Amino acid sequence: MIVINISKDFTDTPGARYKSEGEYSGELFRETILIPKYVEAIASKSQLKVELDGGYGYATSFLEESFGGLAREYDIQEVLRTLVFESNDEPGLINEITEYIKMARRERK
Amino acid sequence: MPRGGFDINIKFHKHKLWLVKRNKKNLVLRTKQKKFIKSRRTREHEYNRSLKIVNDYNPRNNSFVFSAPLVFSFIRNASETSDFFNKLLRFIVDTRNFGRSIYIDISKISDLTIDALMYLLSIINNLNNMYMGKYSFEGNSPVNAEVRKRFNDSGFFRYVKRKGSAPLQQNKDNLQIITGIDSDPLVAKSMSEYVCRIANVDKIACRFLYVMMIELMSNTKKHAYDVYETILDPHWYCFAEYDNDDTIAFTFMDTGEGIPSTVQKNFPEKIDLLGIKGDDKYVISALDGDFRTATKESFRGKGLPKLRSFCSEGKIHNMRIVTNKANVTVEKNSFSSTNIVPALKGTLYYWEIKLSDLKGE
Repeated sequence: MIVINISKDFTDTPGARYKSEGEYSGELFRETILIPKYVEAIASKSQLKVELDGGYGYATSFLEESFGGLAREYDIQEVLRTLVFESNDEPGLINEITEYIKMARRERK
Repeated sequence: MPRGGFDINIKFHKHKLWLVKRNKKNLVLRTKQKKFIKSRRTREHEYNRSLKIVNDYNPRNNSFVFSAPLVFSFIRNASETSDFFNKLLRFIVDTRNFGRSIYIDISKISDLTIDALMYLLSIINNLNNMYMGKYSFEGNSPVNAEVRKRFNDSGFFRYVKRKGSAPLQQNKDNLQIITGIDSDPLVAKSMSEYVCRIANVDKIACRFLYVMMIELMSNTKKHAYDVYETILDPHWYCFAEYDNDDTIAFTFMDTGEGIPSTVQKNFPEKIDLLGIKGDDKYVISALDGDFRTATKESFRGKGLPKLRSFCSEGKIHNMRIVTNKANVTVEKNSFSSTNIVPALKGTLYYWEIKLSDLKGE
């Protein structure tokens, strides 16, 4: 299993949605960390575990742009199958992110 | 007569003629200049008379005086404060400046909240390029000792030049006014750490505050789509204040266009002939999570519903949103709202956090 720990691999202070809106945006995270690891996971037919603990917090725009944005680029079912989330600090985040991935379908069509 | 002496006389005569000619020419130029200055002054007086400018003019300082309302606060006196700033902005936009300055008189105020100071700072420092430098600003401090302490503690003097004595030391229970344009995670982090330090809790307990700060900072640009239409450049300002008991109060202001101006409206709402739909209804609708984002992308516009959920969960209290004509109080399970006149160009958020909530007491 491939693992991303956002606070260690990216930052413990995630920002907003787009790179133009400021530092450590969801767009930057998706492009530099999430997509390369996701592609690697798909190629090796393994799962990608995303650890959300350790950060100061996640804005909705960061989460939506990261994971919803991934689902807008790749197959939603495959994204849902491949990604596994871990959040002990704020367990509600997992459902929130799953919703964003499922909602991304509407934008693609 | 010697030949040389005759030559000198002729040369002297020519020089005299040249001097007379030059003086006449200079006299014409001086007269023209005087006429120009006189006509410019007349034009200025007529122009100002046509605008019916009622502001006090102080010839000693060569400045127009704007006196702040006694209760200088959007939270406690939204209409009068908004009216004061609107008059000031209208004056800056409408008038031509003839080398005069604007003097902000806040000496008489008896009550002050930091939101009004934030807006004043944004007018002084963040005017659009078209108006920046048109007027210079001067002002005074409140006379009332309690209000003056609040004024000095706010950090106002970090953003303006101060004559006289050195700035006072910062009150450690406050987080002074911070400003920016982009979404700045370090500011959100410092806000979160400030609360953690006062409440003596772990950062996990303050995650919602970090999220709020990022959402609000990123809204500043979202609520300012057409920068050429605005008088103020989009900036955000934030401030936090601990009352030494159980409450930390937060004020956040952005100088974008305001929520009601930027939400998506359907055709009947756009024309609104009967004026049924007030600005407060748009804010409540956006807080409820109705599809209102002006980008028309359904995956956006989740920030305001998130703030609403923090209210419903009891993480924040006494939340107020003042934007354009809307003055909305967000309760745990309901809203109360009024419309203010004139409109505030921008959005003000105010909320409180109880330390006992963070500690789980």
